[in-house]
Formats: sequence, structure tokens, C-alpha cells
Amino acid sequence: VSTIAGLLPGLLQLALMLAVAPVLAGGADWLRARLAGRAGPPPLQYWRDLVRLARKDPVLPANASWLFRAAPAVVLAATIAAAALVPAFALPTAAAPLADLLLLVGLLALARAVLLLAGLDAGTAIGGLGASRLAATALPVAPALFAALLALGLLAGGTNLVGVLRVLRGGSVMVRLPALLAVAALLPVALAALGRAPLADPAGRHETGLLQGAVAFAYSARHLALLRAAAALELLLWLTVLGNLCLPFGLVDARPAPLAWLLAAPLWGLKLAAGGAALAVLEARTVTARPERLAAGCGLAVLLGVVAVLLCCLGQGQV
Amino acid sequence: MGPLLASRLRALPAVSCRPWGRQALLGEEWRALTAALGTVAAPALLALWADPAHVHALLQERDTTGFLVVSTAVEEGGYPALSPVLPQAAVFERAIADLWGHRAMGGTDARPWLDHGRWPLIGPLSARPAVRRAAAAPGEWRAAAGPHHVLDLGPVHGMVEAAAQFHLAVLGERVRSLELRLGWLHKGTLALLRGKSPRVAARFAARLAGDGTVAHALAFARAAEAASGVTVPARAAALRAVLLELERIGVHLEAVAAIGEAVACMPLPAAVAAPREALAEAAAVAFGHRLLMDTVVPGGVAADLGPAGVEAIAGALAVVRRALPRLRRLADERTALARRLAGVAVLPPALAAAYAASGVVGRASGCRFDARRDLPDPAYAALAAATTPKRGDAHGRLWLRLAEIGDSLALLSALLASLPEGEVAVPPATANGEALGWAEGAGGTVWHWLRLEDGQIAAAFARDPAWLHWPLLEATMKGGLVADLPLALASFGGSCSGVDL
Repeated sequence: VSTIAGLLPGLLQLALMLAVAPVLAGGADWLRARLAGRAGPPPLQYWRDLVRLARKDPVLPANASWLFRAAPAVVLAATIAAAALVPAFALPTAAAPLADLLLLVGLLALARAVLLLAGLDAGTAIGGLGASRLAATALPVAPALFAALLALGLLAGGTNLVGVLRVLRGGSVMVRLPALLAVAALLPVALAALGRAPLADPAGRHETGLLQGAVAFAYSARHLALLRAAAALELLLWLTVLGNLCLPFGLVDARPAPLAWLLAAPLWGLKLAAGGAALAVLEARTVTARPERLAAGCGLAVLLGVVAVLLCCLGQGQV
Repeated sequence: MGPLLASRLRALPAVSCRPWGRQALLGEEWRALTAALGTVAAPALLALWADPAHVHALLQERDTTGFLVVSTAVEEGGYPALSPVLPQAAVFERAIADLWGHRAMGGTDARPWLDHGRWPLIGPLSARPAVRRAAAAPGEWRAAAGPHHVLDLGPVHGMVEAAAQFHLAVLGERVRSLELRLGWLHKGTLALLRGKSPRVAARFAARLAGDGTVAHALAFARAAEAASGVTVPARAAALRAVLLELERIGVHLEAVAAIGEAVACMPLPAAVAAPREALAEAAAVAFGHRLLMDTVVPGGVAADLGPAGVEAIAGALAVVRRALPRLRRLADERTALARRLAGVAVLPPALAAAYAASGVVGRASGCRFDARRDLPDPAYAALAAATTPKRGDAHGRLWLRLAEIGDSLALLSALLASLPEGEVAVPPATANGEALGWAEGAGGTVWHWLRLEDGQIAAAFARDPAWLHWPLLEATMKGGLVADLPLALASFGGSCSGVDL
């Protein structure tokens, strides 16, 4: 019974994440369209599309191997594994000891690597372009990512996400400020990982302007549904992690506490809505940037990350 | 050199081809012309086409509105090529080889263009087309220099887009060279025009390019009328100008939306949607077709414009007028959109002049020619000097499109306020003759050439402005970003179908 009780918060959060992710992605699409002055698809359209696509039989490129066919499932599995580690609103889960930021980043990187290989595997021109872009965007964001991880690790004395959140929850301004800077440093990392504006237009109409979408271009039917589900889940993951790091409130740190969850879950939903709205505003207000702008954005992010690290060192020197 | 060459050519005996006559050159005279055309001030080549026995060229004198039509007889299945001195002649020469089977001797590019080796006939417009027994290869791509990898896109793009194949030699995100292969939308239009009366054939001419149905129908009708010596009534001429300007506003609005979509600037397409729909609805009320197809016919226009139609158009124009300030604000110098578009797909003025680029593409790069103003047309007497261009890049062209929408609004108001009374069409005449017709469409100047025999079309050619704009797009993409290709395509806005004949 105690094992089941330990698993319950994690399973509950994961189930909620899986259900909410397409709504979040659909909601961001809807708001983006509204802000641009169009009626927009209803927020549930993303879910409906997933169901519709899942019912269809895929068409495969002529040269696709087993890797191409397996890739969507692997990508989604890696993303779900990452989601299982992330605390949304309840900190003590069975997976908490594993919820290391490095493992989280590694799982998402694994999903990207598989997607990249799938892009090369199909042998289509656009797949190759997408693969080269995935590789090219992963490189400049790495320093910013590591700087941010170092800052968070220094804050909490370890890179376990639950540990970091616990420190932030009870921390002073001297703790929260470097965390905010680290979140700012993670923003271009997240946008590049998600293939969203201003780097790429997720709803882009032309194949040469896409990032992840360029690889997904060769996919159809249930394969595409898996990839789109993974994309929605990754969006939710980033917003959850960044939201909780920014605003470490409403996180329940007790063993099964259904009443506290009932209050904490809507708060998490609010954070997601705020994050999704911010993304929609960004996408409605910007135009697709030239590829070289990523390097400039990442340079700034590295700077913020390094300042965060310095502040951490400074703070700990005073303690 | 240029005017001298032109006057020397004009002194040669001319065949009747309205309005400027056609100089039939002997082989050595054509060769001398070929050599002279390479100089800077020499007339620019607008079109090169053929009939079963001749090859014809339409030339425009630099900085003037002087035009020349020259032709030479095809000898032993060939004619001296123009492409060694005029690179823009290459696509025409390839099309001539595909359609009429005449070889360009000494040409730079002997590969097929429209025929991908799958037509049932070889040289379908030649005097004696041969039956193709086995499918041929569509020809190799041009070899790109230096280290690169190849990105082959199309002809199917997975979205609703024109069928065009892009062969990109790429290094990282930079384009080293771009080559287009069109011809996927081949309709056999020239063969369909043959043997029909202009009245019947007009439907085919109007379906050559969706972004220039009025322009093509008008150029075709003008050629047919000039060939048979018919003069259209004043009211028809004014209504044709109304149709042409309505089409221009519609096409420009769609191009603006496409540019916004290419860089994910969401407010731009959203701001365009309502005025575009208002225009289409007004067109349906006023002329019976949302996209104005088959409204211009040889002899006049298909239907008269009633008071309800005038009111509908005025209403739609008011919607466009209200939307224009917002579009201008979105595309203003200081916006992120302007910064993103600046410096993309730059067309240098010298290149634009060498290719005699027309329309927005040409005018943004300093080619001032506008057939509405520079060729005789009573309906456009009020057209002032064209808006001064800013720069020949994607932002300059977007700005010019918005400026031209404003100009067209003013023109339309003036035209609708003073529509002459009278007939809207005259009956066609059965005649023999040869003539050129033109129209300044939204994409540029459209030219049609026709030869009538006993009131039937014996030979025809249609030059969409995109004939010269596609090679320019290839040139402007060199050194650009792969990700900018959709933007360059939207910015040029050329028609694939118009070239695919």
C-alpha cells in the first residue's frame, strides 16, 4: 500500500500532463490566431487532430528503414520519461530521486537525436535539412544550457530538480534572483528545442522555413500523431519547469494530500496558461528571425547564465 | 549604339504586324543583331518565340518606349542563338526547341525546358510533329561550382503551392545556386489557341495564369483586335481598365499576405483577408466572377457594368482604403518585419535593366516602364508618374505593392466617376493579320502575339512577365539563405503556370 501511495502523485501528475499537453498546444495556437486577428482553431483542435491522425495509416518515404518507423514512438517515449521525472505541483514522487536536471536534459536530447537520425534516414531533401538544422541549433544553445544548470546546481548543491525547487520555495531574494537569471538563460534553449518563434514558425507553410517540422514533414498519420503529441508534451514540460523555477509557489511537499493537490493543480494550470499566453504573444508579435540571430540570443543567454553563477558564488561566499 | 541599331533595323523592309511592323531579317542580319544586342545600350529582349517557319524576337529600346519585332527564317531546323550574348534568351530558346523543334545554334543551353520527355509528340507545334516512342530523361541540372550539397524541392511541396521544382546547391544555410524547373503545369495553350476564332480562344488565354487572368485576356484581346482592325468602344476600354486595376489590387493584397506568411508575420495576412474577400464579392456582383475570369473578350468586355456593380465596387474599394493605413503601419520602416525583409532577394538595378524586368519586380529596381502610362491607352491618361521605388529588396517590393494599391484606388475612383456611355463590345471581324497586344498586369507586362488567317488563329504566343522574372529570382537567391526561399518566392510573386504555356 505504501508503494502505491508513493507512486500515486507521480502517476496522477503524469496522467494530467498527458491530458493537458495537447490542450496547452492547441490553446497557444488559438490565442496566437486571436492575437493576429483571426478566429483561430478551437483549443481542443490539437487533441482532435491527434485522434484523427492516429486513426490513419501512414505513408512512408520509399527509402525509410525501421529507424524511421520507430523514431516517433521513441521520441514520444523519451519525452514521456522526461515528463515522469518532472514535478508539476507535488514534489515528493517516487521518481523524485531520479529527477535530475541532467537526466531530464539527456532524455530530451535523446529524443532530438532520434528525430535527427530519422530525418537523415528517410533520405528526403527536407528531412536532411531538418536534421542539419536540429544539429546546428543544438550547438549554440549548449553553453547557455550548461551555465544555467551550473547556476541551479550551485544554488541547491545538486542538480536534482526537486531539490532545486525545495531550495527556491524557502529561499530568499539572494536565491531567487540567480534562479530567475538562469530561467532567462534557458529561454532561447527552450525556444530552440521547441522550434517555436522567433526561430521557426511551427505552423509554417513552406518546408524550407521549418526546424523540427522539417523532419516531421515526411511523417504522416499515426507517426505524425506521435510526433505531435511529443511536441505538445515537450512544450508543457518546458513551461512547467521554467514556470516552477520562476514562481516556486503552490508546490505541495507532503505525502499524499488530495486536498492540497486540488488547490495546487489549478495553480499549475495557471502557470501553464501564463506561459502559453506569453509564447502566443511572442509568436503573434514577432517575425521569423534569420538563423544567425540564434547565436546572438544565445550569447546573451550565456552572459545571464554566467551572472547567475557569479551571484550564486557570491551568495554562498557570504553564507 | 542602341538607337543606331534600332533605326538601322527599322529601315529594313517590314512585314505587317501591328502596331510596329515586323522586320524579317536574313541569316547574316540576324547574326549581326545577335552580336550587337550584347552591348549595354542595345535594345532589351522581351520575348523570343517561333512559328513553324520563323523565329521572332520582341525588343525594347532602352529608356524609350520604342519597340521592335524582328524575325528570321529557320534554316535547316535551326537559327543563330541569342543566349551567348543574352542569358535571358536561354529559357525562350529551350521552350522553342520543345514546342516548335527549332534548334538554337550556338546556344548556351540545349536542355529541354517545358517538355520533360513525356509528351506524346516531339515538337507539338512544329509543321510535322514526331511521335515519341519512349519517355526521355528530363535533362540534367546545371552543375554548381565549389563544395556544396544538393537540396531538391518539389514539384509537389506537400502544401497547396504551385508546381515548381527547385534545385538548390547549398553550403550550410547558404544557397550557392538555385535552378528552377517548371513545365509541370503545361496545358498546351498555344496548340489549343490554333485553329480557333479569337472569341473562342479567349477562354484559353484567360486561363494561362491565375494571377493575371484579366491581363492575359486583355493582351490577347488587344492582339486579336489589332490583327483584325477592330476598335473597341470607349466604354469597353474604360471597363477594361477597371477590371485590370481590380485584379491588380487583389493580386497585390494576396502577395502581401504571402509575404507575411513567409516570415510568420501573422497580422499581415489577417489584415489582408477582409479587403481581399470584399473585392472578390464585389467582382462577383459587378462582373459575375469572383476572380474576373472571362470578363475581357476580343471586341470589348463580356458584360456591362450596371449601377449596382458600380456601388458594389465602390463599397469594396472603401474596405480596401480603410485597411491600407494598417497595412502601411505593419510594413513601415521601423517594424521588425521591415528589418527582416531588408536585404533579402536584392535585385540590382543593372540586372533588372538587362532583363527588362517589369511590374513590381522591375519598378522596385529602377525599371520605370509601365505599359499603362508609356503605351497609348486612353483609359490611363490620368495615371501620374509611378511611385518612386525605395530599394530592390523584399521590403522595397512590399512597400511598392502597397503604394500601387493606393494608386489603383485613386485610378478606380476616377474611372468609375467618369465612365463613358455607349456599347461595351463590337462584333469581331473576319480578317487576316498579325499583331501584338499588351497589358500591364499586377506581375508585370503581359505580351500576346497573334497571327489570324481568315479570322482563325494560325499562330500565337503569350509572354507572361514571369518568363524574365524566374531567371532573376535564381540570380537573387545566390548567396542568400535557404530559409529565405519562401520569402523570395512570395516577394517576386511570379506565376508558374504563365510560363508553362
